Amino acid sequence: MDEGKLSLDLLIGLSIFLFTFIFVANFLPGVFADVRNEINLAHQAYRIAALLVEDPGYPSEWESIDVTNCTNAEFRPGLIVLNIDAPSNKKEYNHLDFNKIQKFAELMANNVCRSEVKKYFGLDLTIFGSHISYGLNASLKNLNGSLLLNNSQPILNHGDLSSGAQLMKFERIVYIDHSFVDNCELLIGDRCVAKLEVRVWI
Amino acid sequence: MDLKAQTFTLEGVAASLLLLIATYTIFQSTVVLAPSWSEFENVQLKQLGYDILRVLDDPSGENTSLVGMIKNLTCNNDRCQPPQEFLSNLTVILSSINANARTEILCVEGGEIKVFVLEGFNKTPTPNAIRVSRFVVVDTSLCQNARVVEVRLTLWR
Amino acid sequence: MAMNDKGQMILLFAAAVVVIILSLSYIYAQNLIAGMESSRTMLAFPKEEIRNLMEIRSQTDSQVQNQLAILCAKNGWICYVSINKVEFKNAEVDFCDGEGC
Repeated sequence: MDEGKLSLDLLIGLSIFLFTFIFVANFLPGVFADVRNEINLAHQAYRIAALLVEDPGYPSEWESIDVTNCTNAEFRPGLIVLNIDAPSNKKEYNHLDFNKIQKFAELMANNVCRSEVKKYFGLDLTIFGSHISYGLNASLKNLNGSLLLNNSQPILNHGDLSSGAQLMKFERIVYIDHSFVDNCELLIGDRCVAKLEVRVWI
Repeated sequence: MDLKAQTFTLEGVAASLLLLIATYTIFQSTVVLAPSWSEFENVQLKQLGYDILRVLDDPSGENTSLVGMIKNLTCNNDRCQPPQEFLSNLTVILSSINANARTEILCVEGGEIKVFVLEGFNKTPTPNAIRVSRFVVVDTSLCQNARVVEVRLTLWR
Repeated sequence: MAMNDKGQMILLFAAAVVVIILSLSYIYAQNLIAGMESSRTMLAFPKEEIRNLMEIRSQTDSQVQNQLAILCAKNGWICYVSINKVEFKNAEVDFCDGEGC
């Protein structure tokens, strides 16, 4: 025992153990890493879709923000019509305001303003020290999947470019005044029925 | 044979077995499955259902809206035929979200609830279906003295 | 004969690794459960029902109130809707808006 020789016995035992250990160490991160983000992403997508489709935004005139001045303004986008003349039920849930959609699209098209929008939506992870943030993309489509157009331009198909292995989408069915839409597929009264898709990824 | 020299090998094998059995036990249990997965699918479908009912509830929509549909139903016992525009619109919406539906109208007559099923949306739901409903204030002859009805949509994929 | 306890180091390492795996999977399970709970809450909270009642409050009279109460009861809710007060109760949520809340 004092001779300092490594016995073959020890080597075999140690190598069996190390082999198993390395196998388990490679297996575990694969189980833990992938699913965790998607649980969170799904809830983020739901939350952003709800903020867009069920809230008129803050402050109530947020759509008059100047895109060149978006870093100085404090605002949170919300797309629904706020009917200030109504005695009650001022918020018209699921009824999207074309001007607000336009302003939102403008903000999302500008790189700096897009970061501001994401910050006010709570999607900015850089304040926690991360070097990446969630990606956000929103689009307004007919029920058959084609983009809604106004003057031959897509009304809303803006945001970061979709990438990232884990992406969650949340859809809401909304309506917009049909006078703003060139290619409305489904009209119910004056309402052009469409779907808003919100994509969030990391 | 000298059994003493096999101590390390035995220990090594025992350690490996311990690791593997522990890993297997933990990850065979439901901890690894993500049950929130199918829950979230239901959240999406349920919210879409509420959105559909809200979008259809247009006071000025005539035959295409809930109010207009309820006023223009032709019923036979507890089966009712909705107006053609309503039927086609709802069919388009449902096929775009890739879901099946069962639509029922409930109203109160003399303290009892009567249920009417809409033709065209009368399939039997699967066990994982979700149900959404909306109250609509409308005068209807479906039930005597009925002033409000519940439109109930059962959705499944 | 003194016990040869050299090989017990290996078993000790294995036991330590098992403890680490157990604690990691406990944390992971918490994460999954959090996801499950927030999904369940999203399904269970009657956001749209309450909004629906708030929107029809201007159209209610006593007949509507009675019929609404019966229809709600069939779903397991307690509803009261009038111009001045809207109340909604289910197993988890107790909502009231207006006078007399």
